[in-house]
Amino acid sequence: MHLAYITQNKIENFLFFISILIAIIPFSAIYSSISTLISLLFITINLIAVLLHLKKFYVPNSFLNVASILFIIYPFLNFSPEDFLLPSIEALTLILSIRLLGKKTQREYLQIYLLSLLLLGSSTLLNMSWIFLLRLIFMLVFTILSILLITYLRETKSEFISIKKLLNLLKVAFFISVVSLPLSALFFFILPRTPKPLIDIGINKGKSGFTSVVNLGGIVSIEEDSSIVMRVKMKKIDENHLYWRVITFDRFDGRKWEKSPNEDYKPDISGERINYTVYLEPSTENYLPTLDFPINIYLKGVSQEGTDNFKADFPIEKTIKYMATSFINPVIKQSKPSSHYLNLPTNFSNKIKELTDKITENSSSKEQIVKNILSHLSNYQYSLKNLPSGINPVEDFLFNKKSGNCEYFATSMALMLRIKGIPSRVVGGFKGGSYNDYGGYYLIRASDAHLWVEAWIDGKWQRFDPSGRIGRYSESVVFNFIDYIWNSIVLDYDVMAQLRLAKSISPTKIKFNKNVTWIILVAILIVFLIFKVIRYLRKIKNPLIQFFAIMKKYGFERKKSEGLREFLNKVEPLELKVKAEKFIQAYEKTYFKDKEFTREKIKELRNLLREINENNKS
Amino acid sequence: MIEEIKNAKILDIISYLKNYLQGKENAIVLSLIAIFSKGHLLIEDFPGLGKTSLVIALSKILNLSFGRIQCTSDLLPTDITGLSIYNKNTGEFEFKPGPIINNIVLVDEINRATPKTQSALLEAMAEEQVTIDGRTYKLPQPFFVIATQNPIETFGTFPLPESQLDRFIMKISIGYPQREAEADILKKGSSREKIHQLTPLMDKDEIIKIQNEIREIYLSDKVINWIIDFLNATRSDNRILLGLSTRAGLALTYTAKALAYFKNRDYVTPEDVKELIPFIVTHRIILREDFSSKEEVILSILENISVPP
Repeated sequence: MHLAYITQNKIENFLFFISILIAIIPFSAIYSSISTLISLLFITINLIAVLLHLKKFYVPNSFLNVASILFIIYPFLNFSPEDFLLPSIEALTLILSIRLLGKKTQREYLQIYLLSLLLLGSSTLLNMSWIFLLRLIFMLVFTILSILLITYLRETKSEFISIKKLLNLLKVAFFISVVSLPLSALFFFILPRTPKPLIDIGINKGKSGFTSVVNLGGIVSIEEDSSIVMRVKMKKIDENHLYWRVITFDRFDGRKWEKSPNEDYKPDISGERINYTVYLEPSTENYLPTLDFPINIYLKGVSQEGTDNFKADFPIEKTIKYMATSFINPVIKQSKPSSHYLNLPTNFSNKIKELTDKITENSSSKEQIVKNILSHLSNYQYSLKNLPSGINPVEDFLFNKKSGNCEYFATSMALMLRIKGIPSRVVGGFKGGSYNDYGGYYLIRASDAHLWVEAWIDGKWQRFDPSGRIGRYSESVVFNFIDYIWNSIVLDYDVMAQLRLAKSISPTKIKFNKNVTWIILVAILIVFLIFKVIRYLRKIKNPLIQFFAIMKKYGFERKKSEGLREFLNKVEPLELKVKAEKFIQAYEKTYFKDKEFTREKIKELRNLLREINENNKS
Repeated sequence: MIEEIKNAKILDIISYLKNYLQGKENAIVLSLIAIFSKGHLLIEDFPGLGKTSLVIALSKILNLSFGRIQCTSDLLPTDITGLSIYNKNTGEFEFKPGPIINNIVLVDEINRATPKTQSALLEAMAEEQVTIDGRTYKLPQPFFVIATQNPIETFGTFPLPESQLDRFIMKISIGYPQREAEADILKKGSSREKIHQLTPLMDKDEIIKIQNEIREIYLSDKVINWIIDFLNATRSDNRILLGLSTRAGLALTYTAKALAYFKNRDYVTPEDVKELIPFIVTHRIILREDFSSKEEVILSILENISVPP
């Protein structure tokens, strides 16, 4: 009989390889955050460790211990408390890597795994996404496998292991990991959910949002940022309705747009109602995006500014979720808007006035004026580069550069309309978004930032988009979807608790109340029950157990110390004994030859059992 | 034991021998197991119960050469191994092989030999070779020793220590024949003459082939674990002074494999081992005090070990 064995040497290599993998898993989570030097060092030390391992040369442990202590001191050399975390993680990374250099007994391996786990844990301080779950699973499987292997070798004192056994160990490791995951899922309920780092150490660039003041050319920085601003769960609607309103600007001083603090108007709005849920990523500003034109946001601590802007009273430090209602195809009727929608900057260039007059020379109606302005602006180039500047950037845009981004288009149009006596304003927000059919949501990125114009014509506010840009790239559907699910499941759990956390900085106020204890207890109970049920199902499915159950009906019970044949000797009458013997023979043949109980085999055994059972009935 | 044997060849041998050795079926099966598992057999019994008949019958039917050593206290090692004698005609020393240079060797009343002779014999059994005057002679294959000892007449004997007994794979006793069997013997008279005329059913090569086949029988880890549980239980039991050695464990596996082969199976079950335990274990353990018989202690230990599956 030929058995494949893995020798001692190969096992050592195997363990070492797994350990390197385990070390690399947390490293993959942090390498973008820590300094390049440390990353390079980590990789180099790992490579050296592989080399040394192959050459069977080990750095003495005493030397490694001294080095580790030095690394521990290293973060304390940075006096600034904000910078404390990152150096600590870097030090941990280095300690982990040099651990790989030494001679590795069971103790050293355990140290490596512990350090790796610590590092993975600390990586969540920097960044936490759904990939964390993947890393955790891999880490669990590998660590458990390796510990099982070490324990197996130590307990059996054997120097080799058959591949079959190794695969079995892998199975066990996987099983343990999978079973322990529901338990570890509990941590998500117990720990505060943090899609944003627990401690903001300024590594994650805060996402730029719309502020109540926008300098011309300021939106570009947002447009160049491709990070996700929000996801909106709603049905798919026509692309032309996809204007996400954030803030309405009414005052322009020649260089920047501003929002009047307490402008209040009560328009009469009608249209097609639509409900949706927004998952807003953390941002630096408190204005909440809504689909144009918003009716209401259902979230505590949000106040309405004017009719169309919503502002959170708390800093948005985490992903938040809110429901909202809007009108698409809105009709916004207002009797007479305030006169400041006609205000022009004080030192306003006459050249623009002349140009406007020229464009709208033969316009009789307001509609005609709008049409002429739009057609004139369509001659201009849309560009994010080489933006107009100077004291009067609008003039620069219209007469010199003749190219710019939405800000210039929208500003120019709004000013021209005001010159012609049409009340107008500029709205900041996002346009478009890609729809994810799997998740049923729109994904809006910072690069979708946009400015457009609203003009009061015929007693209604109407939307005009002079830049008319629609530029969308394809999104990686699956990964975004997983990300979305992670966010909505992990974050959805208790929004109010999150808001409480957001409001009160002291995290101790989150009560680890009875509910949590109950949840843990119930979860443990459920896991325990599932275990029991699985074991029970396996048991009653096992043909041998069934066999003993049937024989018990006949009045024959097997003692633990009895072999199957010994048990058989007690059985009578002969007819039953013969049938029982057939079963035992078939079972033995598989069991004592260490063969697998295949489906066919179990089927055969079942048939034999049925025969024994028939004896019972007759 | 005999009714479960299904291997045609073995069954042939047994049923053939049964005619000449009335009421000794178990002894026949056990000796065959000992032969085919490459072990040696110790028979502890009273004189006149047919030990010699059994051995001769085995040697005849298996077509093996037979040697006999009758042990006495003045028996010398060279009486067993043979010695070199000066030949006047050739002027050279000539090796005269002793009775041990045979396939089957009956060592009668081994406990009457002096320890020196005993150890020379056991040495030869273990090494399967003898060294005389610096020259080494290989013992013929297959090589099988059946030793007997008388449990009653202990005066002037040198009982084998347990460590030496360990070298015998099995210890059995033939016992008195059943009433009918004994009556039959008395009626027909001794069958010794007929036994010498037995026709062989097997030859050396075939025996060696079967021996090797038996070693290939599959022994599951489950059974091995159970055996180890049993070995450990004898070692930790407080009624037992000396527990079972690893060699005893090996003896269990080898003989169980042979029994499984006899039963026409290519795997070992715990029952195979269990059946043989009484013959393999009792001469290898020493009880702390004479609580009870060794058999009872072993049985009570087995009662407490759960058998797979």
